[in-house]
Amino acid sequence: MGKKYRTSCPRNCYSTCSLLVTVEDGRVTKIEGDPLQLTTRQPCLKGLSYVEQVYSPERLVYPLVRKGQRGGGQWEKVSWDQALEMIVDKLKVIREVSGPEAVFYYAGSGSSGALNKLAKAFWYQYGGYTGVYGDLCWSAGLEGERLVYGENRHSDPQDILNSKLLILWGKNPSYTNIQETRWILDAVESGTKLVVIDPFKNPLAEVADLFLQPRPGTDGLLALTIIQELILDGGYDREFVQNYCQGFSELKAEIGAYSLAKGAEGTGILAEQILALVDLFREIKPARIISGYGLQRYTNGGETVRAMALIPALTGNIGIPGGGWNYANLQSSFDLEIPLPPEPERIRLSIPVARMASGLHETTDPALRMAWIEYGNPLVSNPNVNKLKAGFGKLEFIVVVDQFITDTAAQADLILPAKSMFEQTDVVTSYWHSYIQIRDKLIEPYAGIKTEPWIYRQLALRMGYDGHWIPEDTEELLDKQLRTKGLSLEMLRQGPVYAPWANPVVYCDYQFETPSGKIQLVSSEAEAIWGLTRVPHYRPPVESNGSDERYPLHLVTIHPRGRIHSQFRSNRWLNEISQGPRLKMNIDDAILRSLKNGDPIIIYNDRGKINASVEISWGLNSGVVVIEEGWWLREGGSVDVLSEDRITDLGYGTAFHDCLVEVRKDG
Amino acid sequence: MGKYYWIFNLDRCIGCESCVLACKQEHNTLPGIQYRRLHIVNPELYPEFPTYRISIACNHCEDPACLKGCPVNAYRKRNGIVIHHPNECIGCRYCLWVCPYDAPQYSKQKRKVEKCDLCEERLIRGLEPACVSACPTQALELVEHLDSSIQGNVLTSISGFPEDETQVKLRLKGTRRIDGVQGFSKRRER
Ligand code: SF4
Ligand code: SF4
Ligand code: SF4
Ligand code: SF4
Repeated sequence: MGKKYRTSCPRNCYSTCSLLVTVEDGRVTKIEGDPLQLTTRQPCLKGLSYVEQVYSPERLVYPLVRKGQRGGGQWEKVSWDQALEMIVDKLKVIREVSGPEAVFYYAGSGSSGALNKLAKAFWYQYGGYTGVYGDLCWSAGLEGERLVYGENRHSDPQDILNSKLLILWGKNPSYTNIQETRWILDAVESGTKLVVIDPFKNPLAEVADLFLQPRPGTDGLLALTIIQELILDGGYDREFVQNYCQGFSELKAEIGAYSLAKGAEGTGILAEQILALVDLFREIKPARIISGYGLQRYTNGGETVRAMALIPALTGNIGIPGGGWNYANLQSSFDLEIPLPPEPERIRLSIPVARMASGLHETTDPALRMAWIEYGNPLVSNPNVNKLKAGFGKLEFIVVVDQFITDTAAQADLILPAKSMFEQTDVVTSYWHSYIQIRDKLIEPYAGIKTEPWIYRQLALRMGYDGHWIPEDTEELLDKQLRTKGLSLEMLRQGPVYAPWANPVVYCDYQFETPSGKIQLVSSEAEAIWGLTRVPHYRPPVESNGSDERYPLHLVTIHPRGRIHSQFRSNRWLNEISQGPRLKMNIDDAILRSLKNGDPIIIYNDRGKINASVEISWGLNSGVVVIEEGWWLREGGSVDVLSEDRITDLGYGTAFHDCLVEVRKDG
Repeated sequence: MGKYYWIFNLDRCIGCESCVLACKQEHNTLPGIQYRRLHIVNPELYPEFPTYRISIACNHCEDPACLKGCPVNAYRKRNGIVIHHPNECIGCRYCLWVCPYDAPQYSKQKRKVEKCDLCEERLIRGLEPACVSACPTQALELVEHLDSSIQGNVLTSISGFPEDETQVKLRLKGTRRIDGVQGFSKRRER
């Protein structure tokens, strides 16, 4: 029958599920939800397919060295000794001739765990590197939220059950956070009003009381229009604003720049529908806005989130059960300190990750010569893939650590196999619930695969560095560090631990870590740090409908249901039910291009082109097209071939969604 | 009335396909064989009709067409479950023709038909079927008997669904999706 063990899913995913894993004869044979049901009850289809993932015939089990041309797909199997020697040779020469900054070190978000930080114990001893700052996903919104509330926290997900009004704004939990939908549906069944705001009709829009479809990138305008109505036409919570908010009169003075008519015109939403939403805010309390992570991926994304985050404050919905602002909940995140050697001076964090494609080309003095890439697949998941690929093409040596030959690994000179989540113990936190969890070692690394810390330790020893920073026994290290926080691995093995410092309902003490100690309706930090106005304002995205006549369609790339970004492509169970890349398009746009449902198409702009098929849909407006991201080259190409490497207004995020395209029939 | 009814809540199904994968994992079926499948009815093709999702496996019908149509009696009922016996199956695929719900699946590798067995082994151990316990929204439930509280609240058919020729043991709940969304339909009228 095998034995059942507890672990957690370390994907870059809201849910961070606790899992019950059956191991028989040293093999993972079954994945179920954790019966404790503290984090989530059920894993998603991806979690259920790990059994196939770990033992996939495509999984890499030994190091591969490129044979012939780069990207030619010819590989030679080499021993770990040979692979490590090759790396050490390169590292030594490059540091000697060009300095450590000639090495570009990049870690993606593919697998979370505290031990990922051990990489730095190697790179610090190497004397430095060139790296990235900022984030591909949420950082514009994190900063927008921080400017208002001082922190990134929200109440427990279950608190949705206490809400009487739920605004699901730019989030599609039916794909990305399925466990949240249960509470939303429970609330709806007990009479809670549900409003869905999304450019495309996601599955929860079909059960909503109100569904608004803003033009992509205009969510900030919608928020400011709502604020304008609430302030100038009454309906905001005077007492709450007086007691807990700072800057109301300044906000009021500037909000007159917005009006219902301008808001309706700019967002493409009917004025009466905007009013219907304003009325709901006026009439129903507690209300909660649940924001997704799509609407901050525009050049105006940070200000969008800052404006949206003001609404729960103005309506007095902060600090109460059922009320609030859900963007990111970093309550369970804690700094599990991994002891590191002294930080060298020659760490050059000069490239915002959003601009990696340009950064690889533009970096000089020293120019980049080598790249080390782990936990990521930038040639699918980072913007402007073609330019990025050309940037990698200029380097003389690329090492990629991965479980599969991804599009990025395909361009490497050396690929090192990576461990799976069942092959080394680590500690995982969430950005949705507040539990700290173990991600436990349940099987020996498959087919003799090594872990990343093992790789770094071997390299360190070969380079003559102090190996003790990257100990052989990483569990001991984790346990020691956990104990400084009153936790231990043994404790986590008993079940997920609710972070002792977390609050089920946040801000109920009305203490805000902001400059004024109150909620910042206006922010001088926005001006001082980011060069923006104190009051959040709407500026159209740099690239959006109308900004370039050659490309009349605004491309919105949504998270796939069966993947986490580009992960799980090699999973046969998931591929069985995948329909491949499909571009949702409004019927009018399809007729204009003589496209029939299912036609093969090419989606293109100046940055490149990809293949897909068209799915005609009434679920989105004309001028907007929607596709899931994460597709690999062999499937039609990454959607980020089409996106520009642009940075957001706040927080050094990535403006993936400032993206216009045209579509034509293929053949 | 026999045992076991599927209760499917159209409003609660978000189309996540956890049920499909859970079934796949439980039975470790060969590539391409899925005892349970998700169907999207009108994926926003016709604006005047609603869109909804329905997850379907074998309905363990009261009057099963598969059983009646099988020339070698490979189908038999046991304790309310319509069981397919692979040893007797000759792979003629007649049941694929007659089942209105596309429940039987033909395996080219095995040259035989396979089908949902209602996770009989799990039921005996007192567990829910794998698909039911994996559904994050409780859209999919299995009940032993249709008591009066359920009976009043359910439909046996909706538009787009086959006519009930087999006394299907599937009942449908939830009308929000069918009624359509206020904001959305309003928008379309203009
Ligand atoms: S990918 Fe997300 S929802 Fe799926 S099992 Fe992992 S944490 Fe849970
Ligand atoms: S659903 Fe089809 S296979 Fe299942 S019992 Fe009914 S007729 Fe037979
Ligand atoms: S009852 Fe069992 S066999 Fe039937 S669909 Fe559900 S999981 Fe599959
Ligand atoms: S698991 Fe539940 S919600 Fe998901 S597709 Fe199946 S029935 Fe629908």
